[in-house]
Amino acid sequence: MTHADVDDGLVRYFDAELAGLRVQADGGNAAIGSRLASREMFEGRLTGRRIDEGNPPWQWLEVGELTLHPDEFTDASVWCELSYIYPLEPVRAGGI
Amino acid sequence: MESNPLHTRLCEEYRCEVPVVAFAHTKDVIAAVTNAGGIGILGAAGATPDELRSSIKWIRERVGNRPFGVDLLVPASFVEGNREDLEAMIPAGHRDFVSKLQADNGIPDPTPDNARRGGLGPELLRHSRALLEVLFEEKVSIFASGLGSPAFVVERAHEQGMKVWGLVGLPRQARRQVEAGIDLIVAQGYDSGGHSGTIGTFTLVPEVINMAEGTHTLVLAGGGISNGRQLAAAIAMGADGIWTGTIWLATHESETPMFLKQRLIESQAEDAIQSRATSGKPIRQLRSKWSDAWKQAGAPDPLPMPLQPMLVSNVLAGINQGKMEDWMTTPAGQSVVGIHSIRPAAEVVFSLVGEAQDQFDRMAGVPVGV
Repeated sequence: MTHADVDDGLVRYFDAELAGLRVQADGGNAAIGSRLASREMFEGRLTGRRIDEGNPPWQWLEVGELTLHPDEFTDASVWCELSYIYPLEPVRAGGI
Repeated sequence: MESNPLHTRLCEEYRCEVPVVAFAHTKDVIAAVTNAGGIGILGAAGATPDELRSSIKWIRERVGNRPFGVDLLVPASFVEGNREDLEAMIPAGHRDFVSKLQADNGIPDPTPDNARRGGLGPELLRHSRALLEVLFEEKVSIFASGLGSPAFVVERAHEQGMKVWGLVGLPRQARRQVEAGIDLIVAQGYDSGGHSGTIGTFTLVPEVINMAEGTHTLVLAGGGISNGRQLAAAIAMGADGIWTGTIWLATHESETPMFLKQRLIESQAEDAIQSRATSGKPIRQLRSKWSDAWKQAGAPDPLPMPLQPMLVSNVLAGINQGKMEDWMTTPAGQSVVGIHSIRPAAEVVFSLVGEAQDQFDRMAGVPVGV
């Protein structure tokens, strides 16, 4: 892992061992002030970029090269929470 | 000793009297259901931290030590971007369509509410964390995560004596939550209101129960449940209780406007449609002139989240502030078909339990209604 950048409470760092790993992920969110949310599914490759927020750390990994995403999704990548990321390839000892 | 099938592990562990959990955005519903022997879970998405704190205190003053909780829509994914860049991505044709809709139908401009202005990207995380801190500070006994995994706060919550619940729409999400030591999983099927999953309740629930078997994790059935026959079915499948939302919208205590309560009573299951017109994502809700307008010939496809809410949030606020009844809607599940009248929440609890008991009596060969 490379050094971390702290940006307004977010710790951003790069995890080279994970870059390129093919994964599926269950996502979804709601806008602040909204009672409406979504559930969505993604498949792609981890970019290696990570964000940890707060304490205890809430861990996020960026998924790019998306081959599966909601029809209306237009972004090139998405940040997904660690708990709902499912590797589709063998992963290092100790997991993601 | 006779066993009571409605006295489940949920009742044992949470000291509630009946295995009925009510999700609602109205704190009065939460207090009424909790005092009737169930468990009320306040939907706090959309609230500010101060509003949430105030609601928790209000409920606690009315229910004392009885169990209640708070549901937050913690995110499971987000995209980065600043508001200005995203605004620029909204096509002129969509802006024209919405402006014309507003002008043609007399939809007023709303009073601004900056406290609720939609956040993006990491701002979502900070907002969720701020609401979570309120739960920890107020020592709310149950935190329910209505969307993303709550695994990241389980240890801290348990240290404080709090229980952590998670709503799932897929078996693999349930597996991760069981592994993370979540206290209770709500297996929420496709027929539920709002952000439902893609799997039907009767398929999802038994699979999740199998995963949780032999662990400390309890399972509730959710999605499409509005009567005691379904409560009995959930218990018979092995669930520890039911998670319900839509049926509380038309109770006396609910803040749902009266005309929407009337529409809920008149609605059939097929009137709870999935539409992307409000948020850009499929949300199961009551059909309205707003959802119809986006289906009419010549209407553009709704934009993706977050562009669609950025495009339409002002107009929707105008509809709500102007109380334009035919244009307003509410998230609602297919269980809307089970709403027949406006009743006190406690009466709904008693009906659910009474009907379920009748089913168990029938299965046991006991004459029902004699």
